[in-house]
Amino acid sequence: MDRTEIKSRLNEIFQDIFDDPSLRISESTTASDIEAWDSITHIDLIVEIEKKFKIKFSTGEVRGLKNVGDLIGMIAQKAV
Amino acid sequence: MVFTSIPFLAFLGALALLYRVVPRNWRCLLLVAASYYFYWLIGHWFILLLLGATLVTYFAGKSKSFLLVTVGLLISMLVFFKALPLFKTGWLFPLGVSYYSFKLAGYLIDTYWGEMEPEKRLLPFLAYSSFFPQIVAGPIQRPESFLPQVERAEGVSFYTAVTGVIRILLGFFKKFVIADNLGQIVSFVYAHLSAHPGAPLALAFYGYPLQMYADFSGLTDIAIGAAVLLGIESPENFNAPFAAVSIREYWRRWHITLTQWITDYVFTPLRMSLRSLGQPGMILSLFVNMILIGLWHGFRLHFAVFGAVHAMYLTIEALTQRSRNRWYKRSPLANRITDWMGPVVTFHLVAIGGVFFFADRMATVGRLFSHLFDGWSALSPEFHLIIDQPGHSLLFLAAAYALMECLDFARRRFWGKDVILTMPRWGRWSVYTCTGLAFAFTILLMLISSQKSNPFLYAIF
Repeated sequence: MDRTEIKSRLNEIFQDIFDDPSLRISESTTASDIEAWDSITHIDLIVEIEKKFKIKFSTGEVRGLKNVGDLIGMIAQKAV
Repeated sequence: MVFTSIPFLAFLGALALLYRVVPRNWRCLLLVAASYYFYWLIGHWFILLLLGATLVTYFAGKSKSFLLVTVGLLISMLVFFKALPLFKTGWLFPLGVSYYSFKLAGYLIDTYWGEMEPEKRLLPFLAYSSFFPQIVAGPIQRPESFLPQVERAEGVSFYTAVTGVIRILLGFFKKFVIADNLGQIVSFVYAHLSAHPGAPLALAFYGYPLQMYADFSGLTDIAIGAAVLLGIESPENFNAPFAAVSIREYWRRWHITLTQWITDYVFTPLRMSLRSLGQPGMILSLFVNMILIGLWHGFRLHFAVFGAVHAMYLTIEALTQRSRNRWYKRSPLANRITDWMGPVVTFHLVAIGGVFFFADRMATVGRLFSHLFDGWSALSPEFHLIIDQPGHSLLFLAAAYALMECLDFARRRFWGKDVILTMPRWGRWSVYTCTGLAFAFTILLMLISSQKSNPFLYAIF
């Protein structure tokens, strides 16, 4: 799966979790760009990504993410 | 030696001068020596506990097999001292242990997760755990932010030192003018709860969160300002907490470094391991997290209840988020009203939590809530004695509080942005002169005032 495809599927997940159909993410989007993206919604987001991409994250991986680009990279590594 | 005393200011001033003149490679040693001297004055023989915990952490950080055992040891040490008053009274509490044990445990967990390299040099590490401006009540600075700064040991320019002094003065203002005066009213009302009708109870109900904020953020201002004088930039602990539109946002703005610590090392790992449970997993994680934040203040039932009350708020917010969003989309008016009412409702929820935080007996909580709306009938003469003192007039306190919020607004806007340097020379020197005068005025007030300042609320945790 290439990064563009991951990004577009990820965008749908973001829109769903943050309940905002107009939300557009980019590789450089961080938690500070999305007001509702806090420690609680972060795990909701991870759970949804795990479900949709059929992958698993570890706590260390979840903590190490700095922006959406990191997240896409991590999914690209894990998803086949 | 409390932060709001002349000996502390003299100690800090002398140290800042010395820090500026000694060669750069001596500065870290100077900070360690000063911090241990300070800790000896406030903690006496508990200095050995600080030193021991730091040395064990330093060496454990170098070997992966001892990392988690040492985290367990540090947390056990903290739990032991927090739990001791339950079994034995009259024991002294090692000051700062709640803060430095979290700093050290965070360092070890980060090293374990591979997020930071073990610190090679012992001296900066000794400075990290003992750094005296932060030892009394934080902020809980992360090692990756502190260690490089203390290793660089950069000199402090005259301009930077002035900003540090301004920050300390802001802390003194919050503490002396607002927290101490408001605190006397709040303590008086709580001490004689059954003697008061509704109005004084309401005053204590609304006053306590404001007192707590002025007190704790004032103490943090002094800590941050003092650190600036010693070349260290600290993290912020407060960001306009009463502007929060939800409890969720409130915790991102209140005691930020503690919330972040517990989020990183407790909430996230716990929530991740319980994620297969779905929403019950989230609720359980929130309750564990918030009750731990409560118990961090002391092993007392009312602190645990305080945490549980906040966990309940957060749970309700999380579970209703989607339906609220849908409602706001349908009704823009509701959205606008919520925007406006959000901080007011949040403040009331925080104040309700504050009653559980302050009152160590449930009977007190019951009495306060059941008589809150009793009105102004028959204020006792003793209450008049308190409220009629010059510093306790409600008008004065309201004006002082408003001024504090304005100063804090300016602080958030301009801190770290070097605005004074961009001013013309006359502007710069006006700032310097005003700071000097305000400083001299504060010292003068401290000298002539016979009344001692109350201890800081957060310095005992």
